[in-house]
Amino acid sequence: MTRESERKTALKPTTRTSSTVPSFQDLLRYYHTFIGLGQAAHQLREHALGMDIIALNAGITASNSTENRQALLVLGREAGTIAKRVGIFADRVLVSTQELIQVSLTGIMRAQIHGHLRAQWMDEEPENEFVRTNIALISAAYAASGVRVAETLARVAAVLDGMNDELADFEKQNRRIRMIAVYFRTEASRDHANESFFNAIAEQLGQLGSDLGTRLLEMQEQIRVSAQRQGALA
Amino acid sequence: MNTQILFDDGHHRWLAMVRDPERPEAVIDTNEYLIVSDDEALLLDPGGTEIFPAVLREISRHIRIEQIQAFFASHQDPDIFSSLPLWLGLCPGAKIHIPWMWRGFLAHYGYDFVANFVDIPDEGGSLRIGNRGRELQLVPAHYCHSPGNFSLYDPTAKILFSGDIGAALLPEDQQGLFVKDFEQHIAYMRGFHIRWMPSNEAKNAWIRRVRKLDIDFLCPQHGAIFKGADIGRFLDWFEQLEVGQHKGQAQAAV
Repeated sequence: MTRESERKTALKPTTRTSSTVPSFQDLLRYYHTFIGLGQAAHQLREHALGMDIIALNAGITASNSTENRQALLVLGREAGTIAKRVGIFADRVLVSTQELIQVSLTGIMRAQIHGHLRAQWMDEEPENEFVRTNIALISAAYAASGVRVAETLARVAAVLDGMNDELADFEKQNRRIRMIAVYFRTEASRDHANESFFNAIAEQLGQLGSDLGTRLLEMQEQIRVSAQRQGALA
Repeated sequence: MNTQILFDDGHHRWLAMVRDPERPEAVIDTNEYLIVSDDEALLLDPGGTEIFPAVLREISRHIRIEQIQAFFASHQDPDIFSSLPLWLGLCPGAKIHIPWMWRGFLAHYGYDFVANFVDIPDEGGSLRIGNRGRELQLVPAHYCHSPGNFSLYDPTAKILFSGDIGAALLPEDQQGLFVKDFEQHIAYMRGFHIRWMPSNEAKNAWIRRVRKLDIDFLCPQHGAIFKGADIGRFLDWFEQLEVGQHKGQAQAAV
């Protein structure tokens, strides 16, 4: 099985029942994964902003340039498009991860408290009627919380599944941006009037393109890991 | 956690849960009060997430958790109610009485539960609890210390829950439920009140309101409870105190 097909299998949404309540350790692992995913999304947003600034600069320079006007306009368009798309993508990931972080954190706390109290109570006051009733209530609340985590995971996994196609598309667009960077580096050695601008923009594009590629790969890995964990519990 | 019964007439009870010995040292000590009237219960300033297990365990010895029909948050601080999502996981139908201005802020503790919020207007109001509909009065305590702040007065038990007013940071050898030596106790609360209470005018307005009430116990959220003559001593002391000062020597935060 290829890695791509493994990923697709793992990302397949699942239906859960109360018998598949995540354990405390599962919840803790989810929580850390979602934090990582949220951080990667924040970094993507920063890259989108960097691309947006390049797009604006290219547009301004194009209006003063005769020789490279067309190339600068293409650069502005490409950088603007990817900035917009990456920004929207990052926002969607952030919304999903925020919900997951909140749900899993509440689940962690409830699971921890449930385990802690149950262990103490069983030893301390087995005859207290209030305690017996309350243990049952707290157990039910923890189970409901776990089911909610599982349901949210299943829903978000489906959303993330759709995002994988977008990630692949971003990688293509990223390659185009790197090619543009190569063009501007060549152009810098030829057009002495705009040499410093071309060098600066080539450097920025190269850096942003490289960082963006790294972040996209990281995010794909995070999505794959969280989806596999979710799949493993199904 | 040490639980003491402050009042019990057979239908209406006040429980004070104080001095949790298992509390992490970094977490400030808090008092939680539970009013049980017939088959209904109201928890006052339920506390933060760190002490939730201890409070839950203590309450569970005395009532069914399902009896908790409402919570009261005197203001917005994390030691007041960061445990909100944990409590609402157990009592999903309970009302949460909060100063209106903190609605959007308290939603950060759990936006799933904003439908449970009941806004308390600036002028205060009253609640009813239990089959007998015992009244609980919500007494404005704005700027003492929070800009949206309430005390809660129970005319049946003659108890005033004062929130952070009267709060004290007690040393290890002064862990009693009640204030023993008022003059000595001043040292444990003076710095906090000077620094955290921002307005003499607001503070004195609260004192005027409270002097009209018949109070047997004045119960702060931190430190020892005032009873009997110490209530008047506290109000007199607080009245003459110049608050809203910072001279670089204020005591630790409460």
